[in-house]
Amino acid sequence: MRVLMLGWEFPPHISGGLGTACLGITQGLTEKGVDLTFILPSMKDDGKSQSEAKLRSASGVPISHALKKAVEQVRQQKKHDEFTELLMRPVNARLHPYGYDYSQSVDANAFNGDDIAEISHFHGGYKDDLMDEVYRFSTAAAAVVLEENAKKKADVIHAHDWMTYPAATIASRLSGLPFVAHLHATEFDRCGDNGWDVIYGIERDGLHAADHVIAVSERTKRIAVERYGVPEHKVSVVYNGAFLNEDIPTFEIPEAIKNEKRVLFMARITFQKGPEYFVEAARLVLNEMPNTRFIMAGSGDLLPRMMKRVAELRMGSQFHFPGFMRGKNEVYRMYSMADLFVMPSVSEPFGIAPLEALQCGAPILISKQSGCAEVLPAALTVDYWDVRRMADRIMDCLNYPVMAQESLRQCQADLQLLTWGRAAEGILQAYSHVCPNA
Amino acid sequence: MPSVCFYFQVHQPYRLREFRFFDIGVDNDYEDVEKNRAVMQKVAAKCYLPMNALMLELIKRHQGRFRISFSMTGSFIEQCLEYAPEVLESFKKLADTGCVEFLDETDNHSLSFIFSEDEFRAQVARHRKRMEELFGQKPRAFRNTELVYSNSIARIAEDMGYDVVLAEGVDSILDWRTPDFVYHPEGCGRIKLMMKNHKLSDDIAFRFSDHSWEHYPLMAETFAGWLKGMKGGSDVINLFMDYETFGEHQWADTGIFDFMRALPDFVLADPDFDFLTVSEAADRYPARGWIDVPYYTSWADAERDISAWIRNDMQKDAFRALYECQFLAARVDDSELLEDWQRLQCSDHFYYMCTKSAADGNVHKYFSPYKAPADAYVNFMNVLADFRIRLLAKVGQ
Repeated sequence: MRVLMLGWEFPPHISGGLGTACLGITQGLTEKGVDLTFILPSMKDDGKSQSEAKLRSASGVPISHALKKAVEQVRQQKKHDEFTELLMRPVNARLHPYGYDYSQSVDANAFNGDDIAEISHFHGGYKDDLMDEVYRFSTAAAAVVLEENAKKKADVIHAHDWMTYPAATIASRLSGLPFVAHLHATEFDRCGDNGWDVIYGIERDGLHAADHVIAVSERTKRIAVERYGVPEHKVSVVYNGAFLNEDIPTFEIPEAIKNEKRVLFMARITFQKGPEYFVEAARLVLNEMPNTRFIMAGSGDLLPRMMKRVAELRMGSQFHFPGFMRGKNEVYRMYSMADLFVMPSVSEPFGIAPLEALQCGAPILISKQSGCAEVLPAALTVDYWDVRRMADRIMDCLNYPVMAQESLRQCQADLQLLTWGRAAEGILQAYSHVCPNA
Repeated sequence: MPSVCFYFQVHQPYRLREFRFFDIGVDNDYEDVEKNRAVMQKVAAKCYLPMNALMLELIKRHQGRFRISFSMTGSFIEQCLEYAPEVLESFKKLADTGCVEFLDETDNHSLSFIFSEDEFRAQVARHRKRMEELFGQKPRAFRNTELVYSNSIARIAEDMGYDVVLAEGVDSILDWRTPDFVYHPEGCGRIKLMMKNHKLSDDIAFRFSDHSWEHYPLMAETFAGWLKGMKGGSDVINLFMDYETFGEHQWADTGIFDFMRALPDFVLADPDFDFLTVSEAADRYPARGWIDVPYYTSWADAERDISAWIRNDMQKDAFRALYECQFLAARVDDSELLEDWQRLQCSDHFYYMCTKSAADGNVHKYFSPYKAPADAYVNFMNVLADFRIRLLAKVGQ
């Protein structure tokens, strides 16, 4: 089984939750004997891969005129097909709605001519020109896919999140390989109903062009079906996992602050993560337990607003903003110091952070709107908007550590089942829908 | 016979190092020693040493007719002792001429009067002691941190035995009056009030090197001409400014030293004019009226109030958190903790948190060691959290 994977993050090349998940997935699949090549926009030269999967950068790839023309054709064709697609969808989504199959007519070598149009270049990550990068990545990544496929015949293209969907769509058309879209987060998770329609459009096109979709939770599957119109049978749910055999270093809590209680929020400080609910809950807790220390670690567009609010509520002496954590060790250290980790996400497709918190021995309180709550039945949950209840829950945990510890113990037991190996099995299962020899 | 009264403010804050959340409860080393040393030595070389040499030269050349006043903060003096002792020696030499007066202020360059009169009085008393020990002078004049002033501050200063107190010549307060006379503060008895002529002071301190200013380049002769034009309508022209104006805010190549070297000659060329120190001017001239300042004024920013330090929520929160430690600090007798307590009160920490934009924002940025006001807030609160933990531990013992 050979998989060509397209992703936007991979540790150590820009690593958020998506990168972590991609690492886990490649590790899980590689252990199952899958031959896997991971294609991402750019790689730092010094970065050493943490995985056995082959990493390939889509930067520095020569792109021929022939390929550019073919890519353009696919894009044009897609436009023409929009009406056709509309008519055809009710019939059967597993039929190729695009009229003709390029793989029959196009030889991959035809794109390797001497007429180089340009050499691709990406800086990767999420900069201002992200849309431009996404657009150009679709050509460069297609070139890499074709080249890899020519080297050794692949079975499936597996793409992570919308940034890579256009690339996977084109690569799939040009190579004839089936396309599996992995849905880690949607625009509705990130922005609620105020998302950007361009991204929604890309997501929707990608999910419809895909031969199969993997959602990271039932919650996400529901969004794919209800809000993107993806046929239910085309979506499999595969939960993320935790790196269970990772060594978690132990940290001594300094003597001077041993008796303090610490409540931690650690995520991107954006709408999706619900930081304002944490701040408001903190206010309620501090009214009752003025010596509790709250920590909002991370960075994001809402950080200045959160700081302003904390200052406004005059609780800056108990509420800290340590910024972006520098390296894994600091992340672990933060979790280890916490008496409670809170993830009040407004909409969390899965949420790997609570798993990490559990591994470091921090009890968790997560929003009911979090995908990982589906696999952590013993976790303490609360509606993200229910600030009063969140505050009560936090105080319960601090006042009755025994209760928090019991929840922690059960969650840790459930965590043992959440391996990346199990996730890999689910993914292979999903592959079998679209490629017979999986 | 109008007099010209120069008073220079000499101050360097103790800048904090980057104090991270992980440092709370672990490390109680708050100061950025490297940076403080570097700044002190840089400003010593560019400003303090050459300017003191110039002042000494002028005093000698004019045989006592050129007279100036200084106010210097405790944090400046302590950093001098540590990083540039030769600067302090040169100030002592100036003191020995008898033509230089030293004023009192809060030792920590703090805004303590807003929160605690006790703390305020203690800081001023400490400063008074320092002046006596260093320069052999018992200051008779008081200026509060950043020229922050109100009727009540004048009242406390009078109660503490001062003869004169300084303030900004805020236009809205003065109304039709000019700052160029000696006044009485409203509600006080004998203490006098001298107010900064902000137009002429800022011509030197801020506009001197401004190429877009209509009077650029400012010549000593021109400036002296302006002063002379005020003859008959003024008793004393108060030119109050940061000492760092000379060589640091305005670099040597702007010609600021040459300007100062030439200015006394032009001023003293008119026998009607002379230079006086603050107390001398207060002694010579009678108070011409009463000035009522019911709210705080200062010499900072366009507003000339305390909004440079206490306006936005970050500043208010940090202030609250700081002075919540007051009652704990009053109960400990640990020299290290008390030193930290005093240094944390330095008004500069709050100045860095200011979020004003436009021209004032740029001035704040110029002075700030932080990238953004929020960084200043976060860092200060972390330090304060650690400090409070130490205080509590000590009190608990």
